Amino acid sequence: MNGHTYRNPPIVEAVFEVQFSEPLSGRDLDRLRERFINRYPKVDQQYQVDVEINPDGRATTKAAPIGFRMTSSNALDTVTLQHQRFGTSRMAPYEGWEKFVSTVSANYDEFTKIAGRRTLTRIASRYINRLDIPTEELEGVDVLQFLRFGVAMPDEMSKSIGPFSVAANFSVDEVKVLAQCAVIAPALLNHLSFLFDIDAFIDKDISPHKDAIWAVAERLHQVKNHVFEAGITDRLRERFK
Amino acid sequence: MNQPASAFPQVPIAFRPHAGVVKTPLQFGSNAELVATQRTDLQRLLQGFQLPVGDWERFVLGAHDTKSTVRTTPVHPSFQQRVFDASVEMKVAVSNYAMHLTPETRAKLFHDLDEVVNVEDWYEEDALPSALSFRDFLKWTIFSKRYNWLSIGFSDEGYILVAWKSERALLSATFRGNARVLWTATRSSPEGETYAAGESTLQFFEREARLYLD
Repeated sequence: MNGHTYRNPPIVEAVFEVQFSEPLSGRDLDRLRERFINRYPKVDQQYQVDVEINPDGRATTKAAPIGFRMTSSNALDTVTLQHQRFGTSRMAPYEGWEKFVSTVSANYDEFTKIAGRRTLTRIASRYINRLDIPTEELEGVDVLQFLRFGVAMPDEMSKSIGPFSVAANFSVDEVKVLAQCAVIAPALLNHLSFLFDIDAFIDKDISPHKDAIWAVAERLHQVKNHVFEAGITDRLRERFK
Repeated sequence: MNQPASAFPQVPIAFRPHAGVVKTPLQFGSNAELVATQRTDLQRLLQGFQLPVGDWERFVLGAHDTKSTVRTTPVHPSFQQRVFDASVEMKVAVSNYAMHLTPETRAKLFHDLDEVVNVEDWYEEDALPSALSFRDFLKWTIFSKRYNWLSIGFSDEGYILVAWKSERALLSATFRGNARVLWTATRSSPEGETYAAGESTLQFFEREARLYLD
């Protein structure tokens, strides 16, 4: 299940995240923020916003702080600190798994120095891809010429399709996957953009040992690659080489 | 080894990005007025939160329904922090187009942004750079393949100003963040200088630019 190597991978964001059962205290979060502030100096407070629609149609909201998102000066790397999750992200340009997992591992070490080793309830590797395809290449062409994961529609219904979105849960080798594909706002002029978002995760029987966590990370990465490669065609693949 | 769907926990896909493609339900027979009222209320209630452009369109709930989402807001909104945040926001935009830019162009963009968007050269009363304007500039640059801009700056309104120079002309443009460009051109010839100006779409501006820069 090895992935290809691309010169221009379409990854707009790679995320590695752990969730844990015992929540971090506000003091833990503040200490973690101070621990990461030098490498990630832009700090945003994150709120959970609950929205409720009343019977009369009016909306009310409640907002509670849940942690921080911190961004590096070059805007390419972030960490997310929340009461029950810790994540590391890399924006484009993605420089490969080895480099990414090395950052993830270093950040997790820093995290455990403050927060200790916690019982993990979920480990996830999420890759958000944006596939930009020139409109002239798509005109009159079945989208299946580019993407193999999407919406199937019988010819009797229509021979063309407009904006669509699809989300599917499945599993590959006991790794759970939430894959989403959608037409999104075009990122470039005279192009159409497709989102291909792959969230590979496990949420049971997680060993707390550090080596086991990175073994899981490797598995998630392989599954992510497998899903991505299975979801696109050679014609699309050529665009990233 | 596939598992049945019931083996998975419910996933909060309602606020995932794919929901964004479901546009405002203003079709015949929809409860468009109710939706519009809800969004107006939400905008009032969520004042102070930074929400991405277009995010409001995702808030479509039925009566008695509750949804949760996560929103971010800067922790230190000092002038210094706001300028720094604006610079980071521009660099995030560059990142979104990284797969279409060479490392040299990305480095040039980062260098120019650091030169222009910094606390020493910014005044508190100036509008911060517009991310939409900057994204239009990036889109146009990739579309036209013109990576040799002479300089960039920002207008009082926060729009990016860009200049290009060729052997016989100087072209400058203001990207206004609405997919349109205001431009001026000065062309030199043995008969003297001629001036031209216009407002056009991004695509049309690419054709105009060829007249002056090629």
